[in-house]
Amino acid sequence: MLGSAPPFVLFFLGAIVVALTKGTLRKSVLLSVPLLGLVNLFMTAGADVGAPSAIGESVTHVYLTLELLGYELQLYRADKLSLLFGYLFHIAAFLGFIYALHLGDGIPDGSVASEVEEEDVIGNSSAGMQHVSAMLYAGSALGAVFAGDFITLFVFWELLAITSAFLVWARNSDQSYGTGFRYLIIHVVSGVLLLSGAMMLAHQTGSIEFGHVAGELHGDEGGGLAAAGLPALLLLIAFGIKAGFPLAHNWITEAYPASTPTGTVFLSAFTTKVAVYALARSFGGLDELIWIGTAMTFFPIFYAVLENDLRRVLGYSMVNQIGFMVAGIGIGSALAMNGAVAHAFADVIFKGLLFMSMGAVMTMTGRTKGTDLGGLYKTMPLTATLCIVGAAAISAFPLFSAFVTKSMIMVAAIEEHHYIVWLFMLFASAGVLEHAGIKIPFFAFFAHDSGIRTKEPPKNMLTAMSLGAVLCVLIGVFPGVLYSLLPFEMDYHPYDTRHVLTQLQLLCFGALGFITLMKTGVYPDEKRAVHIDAEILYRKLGPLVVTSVGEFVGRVDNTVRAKMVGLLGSALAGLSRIHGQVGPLARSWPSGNMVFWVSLSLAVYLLFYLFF
Amino acid sequence: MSEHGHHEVKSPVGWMDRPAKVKRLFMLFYAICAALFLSEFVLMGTENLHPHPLEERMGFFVYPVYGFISFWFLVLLARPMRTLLIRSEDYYEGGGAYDPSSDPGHVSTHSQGSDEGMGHPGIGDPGSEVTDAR
Repeated sequence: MLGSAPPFVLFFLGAIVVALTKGTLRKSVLLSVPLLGLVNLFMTAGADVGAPSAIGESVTHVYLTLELLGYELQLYRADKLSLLFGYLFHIAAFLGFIYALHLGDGIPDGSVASEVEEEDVIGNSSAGMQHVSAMLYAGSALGAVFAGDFITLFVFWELLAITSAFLVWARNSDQSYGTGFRYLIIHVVSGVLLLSGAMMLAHQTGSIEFGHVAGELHGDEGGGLAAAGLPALLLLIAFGIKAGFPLAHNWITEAYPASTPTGTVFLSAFTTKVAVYALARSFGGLDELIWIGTAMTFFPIFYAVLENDLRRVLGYSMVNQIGFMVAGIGIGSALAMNGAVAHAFADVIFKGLLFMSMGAVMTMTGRTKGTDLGGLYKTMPLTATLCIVGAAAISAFPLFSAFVTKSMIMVAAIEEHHYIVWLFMLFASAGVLEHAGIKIPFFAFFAHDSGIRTKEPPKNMLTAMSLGAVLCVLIGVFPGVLYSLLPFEMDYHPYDTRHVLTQLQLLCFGALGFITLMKTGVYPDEKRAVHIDAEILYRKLGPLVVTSVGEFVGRVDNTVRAKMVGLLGSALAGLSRIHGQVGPLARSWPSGNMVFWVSLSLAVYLLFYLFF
Repeated sequence: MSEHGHHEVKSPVGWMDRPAKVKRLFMLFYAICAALFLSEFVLMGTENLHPHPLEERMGFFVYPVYGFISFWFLVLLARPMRTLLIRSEDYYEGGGAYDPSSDPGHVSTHSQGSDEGMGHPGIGDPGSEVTDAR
């Protein structure tokens, strides 16, 4: 019975229960929903789709459908691709809820967060709202991943936007209100584009199935975007906005640092990964994605070097990591596609761990800026260690998760002869080590001692981080488990002497580069400043254009009105001069005048009559 | 620790406050780098299943050189980028250009006078160098 219930249902019901309960009961619901969901998924769809006999064939199960206006909506469709993300989102929700469990229990012991100006920097006051929206948010992500058609996808796409916006607003600061609204608008626009594209696609093909779009329209894969036409372009932009494509990436770097310590952990797990999943399903092998992805790996690392807010650095890091996935999806070979989704899986865990460690720092100190932090290893040694595990995982050190996932994309790039792309990605890998591997732990926990003396975060936070760290290592040491869940057949072994040694060479000499940059003073210091990015378009130029256009139109309007009033006034004055009381036409004429004019006209008439 | 314990600089003293320890750590790291550099000779004996044109052309030490240069390239490009793009923290709330004189840089919640022995040397160095560089 439970097997036919889509995974999102459990979370939506859970959200209602969470809203109605308090204390220990609420906490147990928070933890049991993702666990029950995971067991349910494993026992049902996992058994059907991921069964040993199914390996090598594309097995798809549709468990629940609904008729709407002649279209069949598939509310619960599972195959290996959606199942992988299904497992992932359950794990992410479970870790996230463990991490957020202390919310509402007051300020943690030893926290000096009250020193900072912000009233509720640790997001304690809106615990209930955060739990409910996080539960709905996780459910929406699962709904989107198991959606079998674009209409269902659209519904969950918009639900993702709305439910997660509350996690931004939960910070209860002026900044988070503005950021939350911008976040919501950007994501609603993405949803509208998705619906428009889906409707046009349905009109052209008669199908609303959430499948490979470019192939659907063109008849073969890799036909390019131009061949696929407008519906595909709309869908690509819709997915691209959520995935943080270049120019559309700033919602990530704006919203993540603006949310609460716990809210950001949820934000980092779901939205962008749903987009990666959607891209993998609909646009695998689309050449344009290779370069879009490469650009995404490249430019954020420069911003990450300069950025002061460490959670914003992780936001740029997020764009960079998604870039690897997008490029992998663009390359489109079985190895590349597997690499992309495996890297998404690993990324949720290690990026979650990094956001958790920065959230722990924020909870205990109230600060997240490089200029305010440093030396915390003295009082938060466990957090520092766990952060370093996350940093090692994202930097792709051997025995850590990204080593076995990102390398699939890199190898696929060489196999498919994308040599330039590979060089860019190798450079970006060094960049990852710089900002996420070294900068994050170094500036928060070591560097210059800020003098802040606090304690380790609450036990639940440490537990969540420890579980995340264990997963980072388990995936790295035993990649076979993750590989067996991947959607495509492949033969890939990450651990050989060459791969391990060359990767260590790249990373250690990169780190050596960092040390020399520091020793020579070339490394740019942290500054309390912002660096202009694409967001200037809608945060500065947009308002500027609107206000200046408004002012211009207002001025023109005023001038035209004044001119018209003047013109009307003078016309009226003219009329009143002629028709007014003293005007020539309003004057009472003596009858003699009339006799004169009549005789004159008669005389003229007589003259005409006589001579012509 | 007392509620105001974070104002007391001296305690706790971390391993980074002990120059000898930091130095030993750095020596260890340099030794690892040297070993990895020499490991290139091990690599010569292994078959490269996925050779890249760069590896074929350059032959040896591709990855150490690439890793090292990448970091310098990254930073040397980021610095002029900062000059061009830096604005004040409240730029989007109506602020304007970045004013270095109003940026206190790294702050400590303890006084500078009692900072002896902190952040020196080694990994601790950057903190002070960072301040110097400004």
